[in-house]
Amino acid sequence: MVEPELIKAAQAGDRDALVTLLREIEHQVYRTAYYLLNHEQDAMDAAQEALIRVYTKINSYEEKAQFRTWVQRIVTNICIDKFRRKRPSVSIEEHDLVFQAGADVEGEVLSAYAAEDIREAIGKLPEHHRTVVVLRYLQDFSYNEIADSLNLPLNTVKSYLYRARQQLQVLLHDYQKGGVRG
Amino acid sequence: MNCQEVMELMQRSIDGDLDEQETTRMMAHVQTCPECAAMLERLIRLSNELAQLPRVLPRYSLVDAILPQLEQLTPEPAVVPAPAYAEEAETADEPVYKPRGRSNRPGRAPLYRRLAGVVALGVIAGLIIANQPFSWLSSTAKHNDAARAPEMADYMSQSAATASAGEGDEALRLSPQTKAITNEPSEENQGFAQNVQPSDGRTQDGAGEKSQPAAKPVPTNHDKIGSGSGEGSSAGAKATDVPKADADASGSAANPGIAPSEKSPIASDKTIAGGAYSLMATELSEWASPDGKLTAYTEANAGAISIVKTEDATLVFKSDPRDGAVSDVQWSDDGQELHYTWTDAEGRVKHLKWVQATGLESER
Repeated sequence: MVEPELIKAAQAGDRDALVTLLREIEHQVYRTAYYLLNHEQDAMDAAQEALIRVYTKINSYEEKAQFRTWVQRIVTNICIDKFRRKRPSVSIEEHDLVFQAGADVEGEVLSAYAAEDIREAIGKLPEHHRTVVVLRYLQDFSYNEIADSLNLPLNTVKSYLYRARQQLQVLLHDYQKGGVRG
Repeated sequence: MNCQEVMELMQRSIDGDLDEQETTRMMAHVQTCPECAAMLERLIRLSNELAQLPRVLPRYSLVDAILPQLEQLTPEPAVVPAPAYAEEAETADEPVYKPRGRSNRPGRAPLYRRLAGVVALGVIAGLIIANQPFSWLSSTAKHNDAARAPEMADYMSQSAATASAGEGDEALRLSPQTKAITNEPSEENQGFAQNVQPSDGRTQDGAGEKSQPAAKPVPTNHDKIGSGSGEGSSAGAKATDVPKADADASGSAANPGIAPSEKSPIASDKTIAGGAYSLMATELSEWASPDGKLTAYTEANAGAISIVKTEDATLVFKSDPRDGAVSDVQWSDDGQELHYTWTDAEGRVKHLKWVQATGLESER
């Protein structure tokens, strides 16, 4: 956690404090960018852009919000922008997969998914679902913290997260079946 | 209760969001419904694996890479400027801040406008130094400002060196790296950053095109610089022609373009600060093993330590999350063990080690 004193010093104009602050959040910012963009160089670019924005906007941070949710809001916004510029948007409906509970669920071999498969599957989620999953699992955010970061109602966050897990589960299940069938 | 309703309960149970009664209801259904039981198992497994995704790290310090850019930027004041900010500007005795501290403009110009001058002059200075170091020196030799040229060049190489300190070939990646940042004012800084690298003569798209009109007149006629690049740099050009004694007078006009011309005194201050940066770099919480294959790191203000494969950041080991701080991190010479000291939030000290062969952490 970033010390409130450090933030105050940075806001008071102490540049060294501000740079130290950036160093403290550097990894968490990069991690979100990496999993949202699923591309190392894009993530480096987005994370640097986010750090620069934190630097210039530090005075607009207000204590009533958590610092880390404020930071994550900045980085997720940048990533979503990049993401929209890069690809045509995919409607949530297209990805709206129905709850699959059937014979195929039974007898599944429960081997571990490769981290790479999971990352790839996350990359296939619609942007908001992806963002919610990343904040939940890569930043260990609570429902409320995610809602604050993304400026979304709590119920929306929950439904995105549930739907995202459902979709991931189907996608990964397909990978596994694909692997078995060759 | 149907399977769809249970699905929501299962989802919430994964996040620890169920009360006792809801858990009982869910379990009652799951015990009689093999599909839901299998689904619950899959969701739990998925959730566990999501939680274990590698905590990837950037290949080099992103903050180091943007330091030169940050030097050109000043945090925007809050909507209602904090008094502390003004005080700081008064006491810091740095000419750059003074005109900004008491802006004469009724409605503050947006940051990008104020920055345009800084950036434009930075781009020009960068171009001059990169492309025509000697002609610039000689053409300005008649002004007092000429004395600043070596300082500025010094500062630039200094910041480039600081930024790349540590990881040899990363320095080469720096310039495209900084360039690639897009958006708002920082975009225009690219020209500056990339021109700091004299070896790289390429004009990049985007930023390159922007600096182009300014670049052309530079070697021939200073007065033309301003005409091409707007308010900021015209002031900048003026400042270059104004002897030092008058510079402060034009500074009080609160013209944003004045900032870069006053940049050099700060730049020389920062050569001292450069030392501080490299100190910070040693505090950066990452430790590569002697063979470079593994990297241990700690998160700021946490007592936990993680070890990843350097090449792809795959997580090799992650200690339990805990408060406190990790210090004295050291790899054994053969890279087989990592020794470190954990001081918990109460100040209790534990000497720990992680052994690669077992993948476990233990006390030593």
